Amino acid sequence: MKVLLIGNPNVGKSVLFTRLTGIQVIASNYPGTTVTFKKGFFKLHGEKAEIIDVPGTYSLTPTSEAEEVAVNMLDEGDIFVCVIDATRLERSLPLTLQLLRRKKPMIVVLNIWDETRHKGIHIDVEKLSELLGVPVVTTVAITGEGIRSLVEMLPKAPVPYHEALTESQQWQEIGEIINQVQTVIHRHHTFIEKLQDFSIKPSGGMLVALVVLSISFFVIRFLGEGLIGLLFEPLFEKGYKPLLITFSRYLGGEGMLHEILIGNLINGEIDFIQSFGLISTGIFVPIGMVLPYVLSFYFILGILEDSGYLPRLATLLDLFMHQIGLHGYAIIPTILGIGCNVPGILATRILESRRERFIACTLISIGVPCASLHAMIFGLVGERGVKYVLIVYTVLILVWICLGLIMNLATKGFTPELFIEIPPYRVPVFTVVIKKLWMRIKSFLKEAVPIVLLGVLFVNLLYSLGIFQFLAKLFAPVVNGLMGLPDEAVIALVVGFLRKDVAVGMLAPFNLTNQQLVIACVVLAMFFPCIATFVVMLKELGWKDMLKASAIMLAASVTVGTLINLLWP
Amino acid sequence: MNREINLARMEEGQTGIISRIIGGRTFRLKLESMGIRPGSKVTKVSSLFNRGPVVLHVSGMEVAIGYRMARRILINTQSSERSL
Repeated sequence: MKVLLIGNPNVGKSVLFTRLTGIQVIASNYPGTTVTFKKGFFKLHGEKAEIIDVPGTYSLTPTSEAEEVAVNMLDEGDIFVCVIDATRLERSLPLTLQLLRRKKPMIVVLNIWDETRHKGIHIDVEKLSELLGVPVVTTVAITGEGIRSLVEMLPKAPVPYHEALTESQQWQEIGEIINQVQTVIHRHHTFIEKLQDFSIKPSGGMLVALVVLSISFFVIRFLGEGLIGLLFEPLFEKGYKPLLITFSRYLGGEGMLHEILIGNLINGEIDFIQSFGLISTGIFVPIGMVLPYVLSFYFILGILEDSGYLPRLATLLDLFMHQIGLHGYAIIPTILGIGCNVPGILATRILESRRERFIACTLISIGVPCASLHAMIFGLVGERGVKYVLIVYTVLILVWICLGLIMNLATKGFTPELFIEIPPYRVPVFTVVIKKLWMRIKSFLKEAVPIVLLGVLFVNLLYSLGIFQFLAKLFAPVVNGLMGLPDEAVIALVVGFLRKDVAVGMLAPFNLTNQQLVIACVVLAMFFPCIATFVVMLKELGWKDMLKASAIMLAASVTVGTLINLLWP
Repeated sequence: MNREINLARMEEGQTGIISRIIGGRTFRLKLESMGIRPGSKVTKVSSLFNRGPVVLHVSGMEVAIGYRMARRILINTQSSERSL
């Protein structure tokens, strides 16, 4: 038994899916959060039934790749659950009417039911059910209201019978249905609606964007630093370090095992960044330095996503984004990339053309540092002064813009125009934001920490085998001659392929000058994506475009590194 | 008095009925999937900068649409129907 959740984008299908299966999936308040289908199982009268969260689509004649995925899946389904945003009934009816003619058992779900009351919308559910010829269930997926009646209703879903409609008949029928079941009580614009209009006008939009982005930035920094200062640093310095010291003494303070686990003692002491052992640096970098920023970033991102602000930012930036070969909606994958490049690259699927996806992926992997990299840049470069952090970011933003301008001119094809639905503002639900944060933290811990440990182990191994010393000599002309970095910096670049945070951490013992540190951080950020990003990019773009993207990365990072070296005052 | 102008040239807050859409079947279907078709009532919310996207209200939702596409959507506006 296969149950399909089908509906327009951004009607809450993913939240419903989570409610039915208990499987956590990322849901947000903007169209296109789900780009591939998700499968799960739930109990239906003691039997195991499969349920599929289909990407949102506006009609059964697909206009984009994500919509095609949705339409192709219809034949597989045994029961259709057509999910509708109750506050936008009219909008959802074209798809509903098309689904009714597929001759499959079907149930209609009016989700976001609680908001109809605030909006003065009244829907006659019984009448609607009668007109459509299938049961209609009202739900509030976010709180779980109505889920039980939906599950009880599922096995009783009838196969509707409706005659085929021509296009004009379809619109006529929609008009009739709306007339018969929906009454909207006219009322004054609420504050949220006024804000909605204000933030999509040019001047108001710029003001709101400036306020939202600067507040986000400061809160992320404030929370990140607060977490480090109040929680993570005391935990590591007072709790973890004494344990490590005891362990180090037990191992005798030297030897092969000590080298791998604890690392080198710096002036007879364990240094969490410089010692470079598996359980010293290998644990400290992901947990003590990166995790606090991952936490604070994803907390703020979750609030931004659920508020419905991001599509407005996308519309506001559209004109600018066209200059770099993208349209406004590409800002969403880019912002996701600030957390981790992997979901950012995956999210480029919401862009329609191949050219756009290529440009967006390349720009994200070169010019958008992930949370791990941000944390390390704040940590290491920040010690030298805010000025240097600013230089790193200014350079990266300039690189992102310039490369975009160049790729826009050099890449064949054209960029389609923006065409998106702008969701209403919603006040994010705290528990939902926390749940989403927890999912993202879990996947960070599961995916990042093992690779960090592997990276640290790899570094120790290659050092003792003398491979790094060989590489350092080989690349000295570029690394030293052009970019003015010490020969050993090449090691950090190699490790950057595994994890960028480990790579930046490796720079610490080299005693770099401010200039060298800035160059090294910029080059590391641009140089090559980490292995996880590389793998998804390869999957999304294919070998040919990945080779092109890699060539652009190498050329751009060496050029920019050399330029900073030459232009440094 | 009826006046036919394209969506890009409408004023902020102006309301009208879509009279024609200039373009092929694919283009029309794409617009239709979001409820933009001849006969729909639309209210323009804003134009973002010169030649930037146009934001409009149509069938109970807000849609942002590129400038060139907006120019191919023709609207019948009545001077009496103007509201701010």
